Amino acid sequence: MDLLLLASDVAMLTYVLGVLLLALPIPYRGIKAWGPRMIVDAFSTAVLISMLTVILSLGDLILQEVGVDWPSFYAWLSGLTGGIVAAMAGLSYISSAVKMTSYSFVSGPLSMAASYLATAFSSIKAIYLLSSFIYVYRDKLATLGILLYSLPFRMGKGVGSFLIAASVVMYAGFPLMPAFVSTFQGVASSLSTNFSEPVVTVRIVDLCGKAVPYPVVRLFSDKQMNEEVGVLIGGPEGKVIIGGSKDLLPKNYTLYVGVGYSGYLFYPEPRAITSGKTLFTLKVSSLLTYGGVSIIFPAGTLVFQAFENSTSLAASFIGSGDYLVIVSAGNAVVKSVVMDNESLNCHWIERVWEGIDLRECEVGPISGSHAVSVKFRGSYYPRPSVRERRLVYLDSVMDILTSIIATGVSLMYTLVFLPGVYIAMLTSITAALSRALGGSRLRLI
Amino acid sequence: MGLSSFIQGLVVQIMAIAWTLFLVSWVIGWAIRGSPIPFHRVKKTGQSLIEDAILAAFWMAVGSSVFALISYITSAVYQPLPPPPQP
Repeated sequence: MDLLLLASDVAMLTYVLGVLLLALPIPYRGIKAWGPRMIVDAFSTAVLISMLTVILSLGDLILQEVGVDWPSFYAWLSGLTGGIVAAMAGLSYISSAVKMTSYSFVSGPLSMAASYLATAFSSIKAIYLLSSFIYVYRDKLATLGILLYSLPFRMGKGVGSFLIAASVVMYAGFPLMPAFVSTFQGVASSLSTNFSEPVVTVRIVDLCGKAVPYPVVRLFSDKQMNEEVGVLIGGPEGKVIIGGSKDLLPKNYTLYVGVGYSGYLFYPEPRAITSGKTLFTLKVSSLLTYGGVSIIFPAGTLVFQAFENSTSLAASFIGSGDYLVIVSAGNAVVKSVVMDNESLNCHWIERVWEGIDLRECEVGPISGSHAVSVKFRGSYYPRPSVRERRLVYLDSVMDILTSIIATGVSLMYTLVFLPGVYIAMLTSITAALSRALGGSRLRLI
Repeated sequence: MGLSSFIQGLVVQIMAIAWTLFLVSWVIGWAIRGSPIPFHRVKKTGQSLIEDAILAAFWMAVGSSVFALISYITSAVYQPLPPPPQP
């Protein structure tokens, strides 16, 4: 049914009722006063019906004059939604990262930040709903307003004029919301919170510069190596990845490294990894290894020549008066150990380290210049069964937490408070316009 | 019968009643005004009844013309505006 046609019929009805009241043969002014009032109302409705197209075009005219449009408003809303989703994703990442650590106490502030985000998300949904309703149904809203306006005895005049005013004010007002919000956003922090951690690659090599397979990298916060902050296992190529989505590193850090391999803890060169660089090559200069067979030189040994391939290890060195250790792990079997062209009869001691069967032979004590050669077969070094402990720094967690809460507060301000104020402002403008159209003051009760 | 045609029928009926009431009011008005009684207030009531009835008759007579005039004026002042933006 065409509401506009119905409205014109109802307006005519109002008109004749007005005339009827005026023609009543009774002397009561109170009743008769409704006659001229309803006649005027019917004329006003006729004007509104005829001007509907002009009223609707008014919104477009205002938008054109101020240079904004609905697609850019929706693009703004989509951008904000993306910001909230990114913040929520970051929050869930932080939550999962700290859940199993000793920093699980931050789950309280995290849930608070999550509630901020949820409120902001609800607000944006409400804005979506309201603006879409106005955008899609504003023609119908205006027509319905006119129909209500035309009802006899001013039954729907207030509501009708409010709906007509809303179809103009809200339609022109919503696309201006981004400008309003950006004007009053002020110093509220930006939504683009970056939760991506730097990725640090540490490569562990032996004295020949070849990769040490499955190194157990122990990270300490002090040089004396008293406080262990993390245990990581490298890959078969000797690479350890720190950061990314697995660790939470502080902005500035210095981590001292100990490398566990074949049952021994080595101090590599350089000793520490620091913030600022993303690629480190740590050299273990007292280790010569290939596929599970290793020659471990005691501290103070000067190795001036070393060689390794899939069947033998060889080195020339000046001993420090301490024992040289030859270790075979996994399925590698040492066939012979030759020192200065003399075959050594090794006494192999078996032990187990982190789930790996080791066979060790101590040679020495050795001092002076010597050459050692180890021949072997088999080259498989199994992965040690060490439980990894990823790095989670409290100040890093706090940084991210602060950033999350700041983002949450900013979102609350940007998406709840400012749009709320703006919609209240639009509503009061609508009420004012509806009064200009003949509506009365809006009353809830 | 649709709502629109019902209202239109109602309008015609009310219009007929209004014409009748106009005549009744006019007659009663004159009857009161012309009655041989010395009460000025009563006679004034008759006068106002006659005035209201004449006014109602006037609006009944020109009603459709006024509506047509409004429609004509608003369509004359209406200038086509640019089309609304597409979503």
